[in-house]
Amino acid sequence: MAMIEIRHLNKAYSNKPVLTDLSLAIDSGRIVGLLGPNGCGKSTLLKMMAGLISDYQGEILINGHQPGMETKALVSYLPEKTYLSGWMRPMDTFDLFADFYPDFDRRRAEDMLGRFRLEAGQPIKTMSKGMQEKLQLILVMSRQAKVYLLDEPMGGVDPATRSAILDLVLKNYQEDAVMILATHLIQDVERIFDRAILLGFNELVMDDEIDNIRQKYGKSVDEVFREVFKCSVSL
Amino acid sequence: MFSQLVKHEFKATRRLIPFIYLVTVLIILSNLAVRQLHMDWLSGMLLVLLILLGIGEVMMTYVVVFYRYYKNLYNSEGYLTHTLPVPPRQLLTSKILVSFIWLLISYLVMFAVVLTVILLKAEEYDQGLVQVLELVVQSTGLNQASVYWIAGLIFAYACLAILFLMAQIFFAITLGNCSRFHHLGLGGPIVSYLGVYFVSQIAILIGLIAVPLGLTVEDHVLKVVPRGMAAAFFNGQDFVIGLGSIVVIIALTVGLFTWTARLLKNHTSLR
Repeated sequence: MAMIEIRHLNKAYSNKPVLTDLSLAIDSGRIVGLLGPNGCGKSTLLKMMAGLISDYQGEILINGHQPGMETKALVSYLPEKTYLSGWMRPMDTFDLFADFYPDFDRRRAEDMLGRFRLEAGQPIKTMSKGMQEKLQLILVMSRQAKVYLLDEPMGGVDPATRSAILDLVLKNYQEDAVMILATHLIQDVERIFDRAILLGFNELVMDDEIDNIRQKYGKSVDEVFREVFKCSVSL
Repeated sequence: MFSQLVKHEFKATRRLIPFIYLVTVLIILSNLAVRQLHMDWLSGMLLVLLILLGIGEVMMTYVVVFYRYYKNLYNSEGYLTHTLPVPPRQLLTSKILVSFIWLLISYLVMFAVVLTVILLKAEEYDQGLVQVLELVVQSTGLNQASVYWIAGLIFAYACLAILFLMAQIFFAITLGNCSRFHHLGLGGPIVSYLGVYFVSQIAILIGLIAVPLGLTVEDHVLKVVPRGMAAAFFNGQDFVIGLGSIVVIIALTVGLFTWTARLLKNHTSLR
């Protein structure tokens, strides 16, 4: 049984379809790139898997369960937004994660905090957007989860930090886990993908192993992405 | 997990709310301290400030707990709250419990403000606080047991009123943030609240008149009787205060909280 199974998934916002009849299966131990233009439903798909959107048609199963209390204990989700309260300090966020997630490794989190040169006592409201994103990534990657859902984890950081973040993700990723990473910065991250899922508007454009894509098209995933979506814009 | 939710709910709200109470208590103490100074302008100013704070601290507490509910569940913080491995029912119950405790304290602080104002005014007529309260009790014409009974009833009704308002607002915020109302923005919760308020008022009015349960005074004793206000209106019987509205309010409060928990479980949709 695949760790994540999606069957005939449909989601619309105000009668405007975002995902139509999407079916996917993702096995454990895979790092999957979820790619597509803005508004194609990448974030919506991750939110549904994380249990943040519950009104949809079709079926999502994570380790055999529909998104709910059981799956939330298995899924470590990083949203695009900053979700921590401004008054909190990194040490408060560690307390919170330690209280609710038995798989949270506090020592690992403190170690990563030091590596990113963040202070445990600094209120989040005084941090830059990039610092806040780093802290959230530390929290998410300090869990020994079965599924990691990362939505634009490098959206607000400088190019030098992107590489450090990728190393952090790879170093802390559990090898038997599934990681789905939604991003626009394909060039920076495609080296870590095992598989790429390209979502278009209302359709699954491509779902294949990275090696197969490179072999079939003779190009990098970033180049294939540009070609595919350049065509769709010109149409 | 429930105790952890309560702990973090208190942690998130304890920075502002107790500060409001502390300021109010300080103004109460200042009022008591300056009464011996015979500085009328200062006493007058502090008394006005105390009355404003007495009203303001309750309103501010309501604003804080309702805004906290919205922010923690449907604003950016919702992305964390809704991914915690806890049942939505526990999430809601923790917020109800902590909000209720803060609001109850805010009413107790307001009660202290009222007593302080009575004390200060009574002293102007060389009366003590106890004497004034005894005068109030005597004017009701009730015996002592009935007075205690009515005081307990008022306290219970105040608790119910807090819970009922929380049930209406929590429900309106939750319903207004379902995906079908996303296009309305802030209008979603407002329209939901107006709808809930309108339906609740009609139900309460029907309960007040139609449910055969009421309070009446017989021989200086307060009694519960199996008669509603309709009996007094239409049959010319003794006047009773209808208690049917309380039954309806209890039913609405339980119903709205249950519905809110169901919406949280089945219709969550973060923007």
